[in-house]
Amino acid sequence: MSSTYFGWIPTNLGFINFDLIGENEDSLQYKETDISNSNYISIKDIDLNFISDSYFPKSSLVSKLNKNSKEYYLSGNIEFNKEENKITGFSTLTISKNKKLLSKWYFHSKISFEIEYNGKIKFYNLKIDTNVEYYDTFQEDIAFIFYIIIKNTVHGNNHHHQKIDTALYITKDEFKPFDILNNFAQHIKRLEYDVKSIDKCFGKLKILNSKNEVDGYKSYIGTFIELFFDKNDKAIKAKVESKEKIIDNVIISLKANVEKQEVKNNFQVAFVLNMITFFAILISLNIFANALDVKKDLNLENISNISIIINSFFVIFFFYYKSFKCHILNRIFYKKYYEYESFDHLKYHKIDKISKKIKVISFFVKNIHFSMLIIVSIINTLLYYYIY
Amino acid sequence: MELYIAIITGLIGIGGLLWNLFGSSKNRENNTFREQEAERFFEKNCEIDENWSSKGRVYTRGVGLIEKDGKLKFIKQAKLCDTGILH
Repeated sequence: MSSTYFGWIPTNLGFINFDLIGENEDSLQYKETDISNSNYISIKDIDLNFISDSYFPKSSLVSKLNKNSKEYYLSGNIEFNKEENKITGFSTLTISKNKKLLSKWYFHSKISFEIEYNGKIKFYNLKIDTNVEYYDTFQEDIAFIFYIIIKNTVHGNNHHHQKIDTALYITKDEFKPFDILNNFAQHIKRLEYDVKSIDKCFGKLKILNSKNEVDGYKSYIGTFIELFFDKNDKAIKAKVESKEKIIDNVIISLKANVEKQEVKNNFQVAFVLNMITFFAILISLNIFANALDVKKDLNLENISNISIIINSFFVIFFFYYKSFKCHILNRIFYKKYYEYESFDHLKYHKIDKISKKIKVISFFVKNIHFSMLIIVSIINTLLYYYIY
Repeated sequence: MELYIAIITGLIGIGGLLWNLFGSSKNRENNTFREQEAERFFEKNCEIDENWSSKGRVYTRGVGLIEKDGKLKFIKQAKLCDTGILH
């Protein structure tokens, strides 16, 4: 028998706007509205692999390293009906071999839901049809996947990476506002811990974004408290105010950490810029001296022009390398999360034939500035023997 | 002059690579835990059983479909998420 589950779809306005459902285009492939009555929305073929970590797809790297690991495609459909006091509807989930074979599914599931305009959502009547090994203990996980699909469709994700759904969970049998508030508080604490322990290079963008991220969460928490806690009840009021203060304190700590790192980072950037300026002047002088034929006057004619150009290029690259590296890693982290994640795990994976090759390549790519210095050395050696 | 540059850049390059290979490793103290997680990630489909505990770390939770002994079956999964990886 299926259980009933509850959750909250974040809305800082305190009101779900039916007309904005499905406007989060990143996660949706197809939106259909009934123009005749405007009280109906249908969204088809939502690729869950893109929007959530609730069902784990694999990166191409995992498939290469583990031949037994197969990737399956999970897609969802949803229909919403606008009613006077709530939004009702149902959602379906299908797991198939790939996108082209949706009709030959391994797992098909359906759930009904009701969303109050304050964001409170109730799931019920979960039906599962599958020929694979399945136990009722998975019900809550399947219901959570439905929650993620509906939440992404109705709300979008502006304040965190769309794949990381660790801030909000669902509860069984009853709606528990204090559990939701606690989840928010714990999530903010985790962000604060992140800021302190994150790698300052690839996490730079995440660190800077975290200040805005917690402000976003705070706005939702404020609305959530207004909507679901009776402030006329003194006991509840005291409990909620206490939790709000704790959350505020964690946010202050997080912001202080970010600002401290910004100061340190600006200091480092200023140093690097100084170095670059120094070498830029050095190179300019080189060119100027070359133009005036100073080499001849100083009896340094044995330095070739090509050597000056190659060496100048690599010197500049060496000093720009760190900012290039951080920028590229940040892009990968946000755009190619699974690949980033796989490479991160690979560093600690036991060596076999394939991972050994990848490890060697990634070591040289990671240390490309030193690798390039060796290349410069080889080029200069060749130039020396070629010229003399 | 090229030969001097070649020697200097060669020494710095090789020295830097050797230092990064043997000398510095930020996460060495965490290796046992991360090795176990890497093994779960690459070889065990991030599968967890009923007794699994996050031990205070941050994981994304989910379900997955795997093929075992020629049969498809659902499994519960837990994967270190970006927050967890950084801890």
